[in-house]
Formats: sequence, structure tokens, C-alpha cells
Amino acid sequence: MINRPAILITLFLFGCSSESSLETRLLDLINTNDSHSHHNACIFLSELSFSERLLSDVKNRAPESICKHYLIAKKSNDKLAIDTFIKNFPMGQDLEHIWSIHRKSGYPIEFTPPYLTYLTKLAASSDLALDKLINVLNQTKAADSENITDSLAALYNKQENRITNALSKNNASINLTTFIKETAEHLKRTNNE
Amino acid sequence: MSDLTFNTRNGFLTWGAEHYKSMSGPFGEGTLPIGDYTIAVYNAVEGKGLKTAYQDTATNDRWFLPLSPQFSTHRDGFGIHPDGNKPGTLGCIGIQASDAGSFWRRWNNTPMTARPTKLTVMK
Repeated sequence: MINRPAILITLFLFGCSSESSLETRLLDLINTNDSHSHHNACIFLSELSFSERLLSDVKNRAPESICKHYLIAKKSNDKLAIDTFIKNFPMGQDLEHIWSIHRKSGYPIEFTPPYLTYLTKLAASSDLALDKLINVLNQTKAADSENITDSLAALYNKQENRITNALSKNNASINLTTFIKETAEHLKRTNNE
Repeated sequence: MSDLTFNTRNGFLTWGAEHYKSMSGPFGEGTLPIGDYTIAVYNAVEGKGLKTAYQDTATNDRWFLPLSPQFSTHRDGFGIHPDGNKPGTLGCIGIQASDAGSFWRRWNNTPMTARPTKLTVMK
């Protein structure tokens, strides 16, 4: 089972000689060619509190990747960094590869790859993120992407016109559009999130 | 240990002598493909990171048992979970509310080494 506190405690104990040695180790793992280590290290690093120094280290040392864009965007909350993250968000086979790694790693920290969770969060206020999210859902073959459609359906209930327009603008499939609207209706009826 | 089977015609997920009413699809690319799957017993997911799509509406439990196809397919991300929010799934096996609770209780009351590790999907 995913146990976030246990994972964080384990990470802390692993690096309890100094937090900087843990950060350094995770940054080293982000720089490996091993995609699993890269992915997991990125997720764990994103759970730590960031200093300016660590943010600078990520900018200077991390390889160009969705991981780097994600860490910088999430930790700096800088608009330019957020836009960069959105524009570089992987699609098609690249995204399927991330899903695959996340599953094979046992869904570390959370069920959905955190890059996707972050994009979903941004979609509430960013049209750029919303467009990207709809395109992701239009393309994905992931049976476990219902977490994302669930979030989009909840957003639909709050911003119906905006989401409807975005679905149309991005040529969302009839299946996807229907799925989101029917899920939204169900959420509304049952007063769920 | 008994393996699981899922009959795509009648929608029953079977574990030994117990049958759990379920459905797979019709959303996305529909019902999961026929064949054998490995159940990732040690990678089961539980908790609030999961949205209402994975919620047992009777008990409010949210959980997901990952499945890995043992054959080549372009699809991925399959699992067994309560069929939450609107009825139907993107291909996962969604156990209906009336039966999800009893399945999950049995799962949790079964020692890890005795839990089924294989699922066969058949017509």
C-alpha cells in the first residue's frame, strides 16, 4: 500500500546524517540513465521542502526533462516556469512511458504520476494547462486514468462553460466528452468531490 | 491459493466459491482483453490519493489492485477496484457496490502469501 508518511520517514532516516546528503543523492539519481530511478527520485525530491540552493542545484544539475520542469515549476511557483512545464508536458508514447514506469514502481507517493496531478491542478486556472490535459486524456490508453477524468469532471461542475469550450476547441472525442459530462452529473447528484 | 477469474459475459469476478458482481468497460476502449493477468499483490493502492472513481459507495473505502497482462497488448493500467461514481470503467474490473465490501474484507483477511496472484479473463 502507498504509505506516504512511512516513505518520507524512511527517506529522512536514510539521509538523517544531513538533509543535504539526501538531496544530493536524489539529485544524483535524477541524473542517471535508469528511468525508474530518475522517476522515483524526482517524486521523492518533490516531497522535500526546497531551499534556494536546492532549487538552484536542480536548475543547474538536473537533465532537461519533465522532472526538471516539474520541480522548478512546483517549487518556484514562477509563471514562466509553470508555462515551460505545461508546454513541455509529454504526450503520446512519452507519456505512456511515464505511466508505465509509475505503475511498475508501485505507484510511489500517489496513484497518478505527480506531473499529471500537477497539470490537473493547473488546469483549474490555466487555459494552457487545460488544453494540454484534454489532449492527454484524448490520447491516453491508460485504464487507470479515471483519477484524472474524475478531477476534470469535478472542474466541469464548477466551470461548465469553460470546460465545454475547451473540450470542443481541442476536438475531444465524443467518448471522452460524454464520459466527463456523465461523470460530472453523477458527482453532482451524489454531492461528491 | 485460488486464482481469480473474470467472465466478461456475465460480469462475475470469481474467487474460489465466491462470485462478485462486476463490470469492465464500456468506456475508453471497453472491456479488458481476454487472457491471463498477474495481480500485483504487493503493490495494492489504498486511500485518499484515489478519487471517487475507485470508491466503494457503501463503505467509502478506496482501493486498487494493479493487473499486468501476461500477453502483448497496446493497453495498460488495468486493475480491480470498486466501481465508484458512474457505473462502468475504462477497462478495469469494477466490482459493484453490493459486492466490493465483501471482496475487500476477504482480501484484507487473507494472508499476503495466500492472496491470488493470477487473474484469468474469459468469455
